[in-house]
Amino acid sequence: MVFNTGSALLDAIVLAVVARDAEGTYGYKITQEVRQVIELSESTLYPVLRRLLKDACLESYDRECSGRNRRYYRITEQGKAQLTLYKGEWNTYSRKITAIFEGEY
Amino acid sequence: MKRTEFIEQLQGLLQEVEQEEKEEALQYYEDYLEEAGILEDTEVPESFGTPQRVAQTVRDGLNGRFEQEAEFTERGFQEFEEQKNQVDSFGGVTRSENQAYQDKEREERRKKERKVGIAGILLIIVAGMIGGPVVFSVLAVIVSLLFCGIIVVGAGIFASVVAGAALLFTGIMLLGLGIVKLFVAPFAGLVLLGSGFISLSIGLLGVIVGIQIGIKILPKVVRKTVEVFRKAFQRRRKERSV
Repeated sequence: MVFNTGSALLDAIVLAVVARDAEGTYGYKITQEVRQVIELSESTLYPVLRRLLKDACLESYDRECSGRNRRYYRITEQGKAQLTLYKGEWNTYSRKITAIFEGEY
Repeated sequence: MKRTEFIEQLQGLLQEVEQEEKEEALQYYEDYLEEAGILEDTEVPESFGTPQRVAQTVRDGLNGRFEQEAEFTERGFQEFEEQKNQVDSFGGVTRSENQAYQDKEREERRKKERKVGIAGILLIIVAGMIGGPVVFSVLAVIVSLLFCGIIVVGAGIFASVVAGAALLFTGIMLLGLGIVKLFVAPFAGLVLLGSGFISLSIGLLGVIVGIQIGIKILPKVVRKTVEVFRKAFQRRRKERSV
């Protein structure tokens, strides 16, 4: 990947990935899913998830899974609103960039 | 490095981090490794990064910093490199070119940071250029006023001493004349004697006051002035060093 993913875009991607599971999902799974689309170190998402939790875009809960507690992350209403905003911004942004690449500007 | 060892090292590296944050982070990474199928005595793969790097990620997150470079994994980078090598074999972008591009980008970012520094310095210089003359003229006025003051005070002291001395001299002369006159014309002699004493006392007073002022007050004024200037210059020096 030649392009860097900025902080806001990474937030948006993580929110979108978490939003796909209504039940919530966990750190390892989120990382693997994000890694399918962008290059990311395995340790990178922790601060992002922590920040989104603090901003109340995500909420966490512990669920028992095969004898251990697993921390799950779920999107909140505020997180959904934030994601909608990100999607709108991304639409405008990507359309403009594409347009300039295609020579429409 | 085994998982337990990895987590222990991470714990040590996060020592200065707040307890709650530290526990959260350690819990997350331990869970993560568990999910990745790395058990307590399993080796943590190098692709996961070093405990140092993970600790840096946690700390950066807490400081609200987000390092773009931190996004690239060792694995991510490897993949990147592989892709590049493939491109190489097709005669596309060479690796060194790509490296140069990255270096340039980093250099440019650094330059931008430096530019802010230069802008700051320029601002200080411009402020100095605008403020300098004002400060200078104000200082010049203060200096000349002080000089005038010292000269006036000095002249006053000198005049009073001289006048005092003159009166003293006159007094002595009058006394002498009075004593001589006393034998010729007693009344006129007494008048002369009396005015001689008056002149003598006023003259003495003038000399004493003048000398007193000269000894006690003038040095004080000079000292105060010097102090004020020293303070002003010290402040200016401090400003310059800032």
